[in-house]
Amino acid sequence: MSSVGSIENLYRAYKDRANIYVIYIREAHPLGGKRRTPAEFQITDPKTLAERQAVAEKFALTVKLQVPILVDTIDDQVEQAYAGWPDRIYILDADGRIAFKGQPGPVGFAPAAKSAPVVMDKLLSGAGQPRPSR
Amino acid sequence: MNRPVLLFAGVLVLVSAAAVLAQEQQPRQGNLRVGDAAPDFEIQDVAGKTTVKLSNLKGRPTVLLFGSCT
Repeated sequence: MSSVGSIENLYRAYKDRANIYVIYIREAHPLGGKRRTPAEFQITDPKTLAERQAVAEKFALTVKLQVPILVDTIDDQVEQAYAGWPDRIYILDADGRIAFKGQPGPVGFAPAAKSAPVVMDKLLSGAGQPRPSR
Repeated sequence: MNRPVLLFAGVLVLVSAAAVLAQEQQPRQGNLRVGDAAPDFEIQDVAGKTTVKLSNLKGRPTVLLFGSCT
């Protein structure tokens, strides 16, 4: 995941006024690929939902992730529908419409995380909420 | 001379290997656009105890953070 810190910041700022979920999907760099990953995260792509849940849970514990995690089906239904691989941010408005679609991948994730508070503040401004301090 | 040919062949092999290795999947743009209804889904949380259905989350903005640990 590109930036756990920025995810945590977003969660802390908006968790009381929005639904925020990590959607844990198929691995970006499973063993056998070209990228070297830290030893604790060297894994092959899970083959069952239970395996994927276990990997996600271990990851959450390792980085002390506070954000609630949902786990994609093992046939990658949600990732396919949203083109979420390897990582990506979507923001939906209160009617379930896409309000923001970030660019995918590590290059896209950081700018999306930067834009997210602006989008969130705009979506929430109709409710008369004060701007959160960042 | 054979040496330049061998050198060239060696370089070719290396470049091809690199190209094969580099063919990790590229991110897709996907066909969703701002303004579209977000595709519904119903998936379990990491503990497997709760199921969350996206369409039940209306009434508040929702942030979906796609990713994995590798």
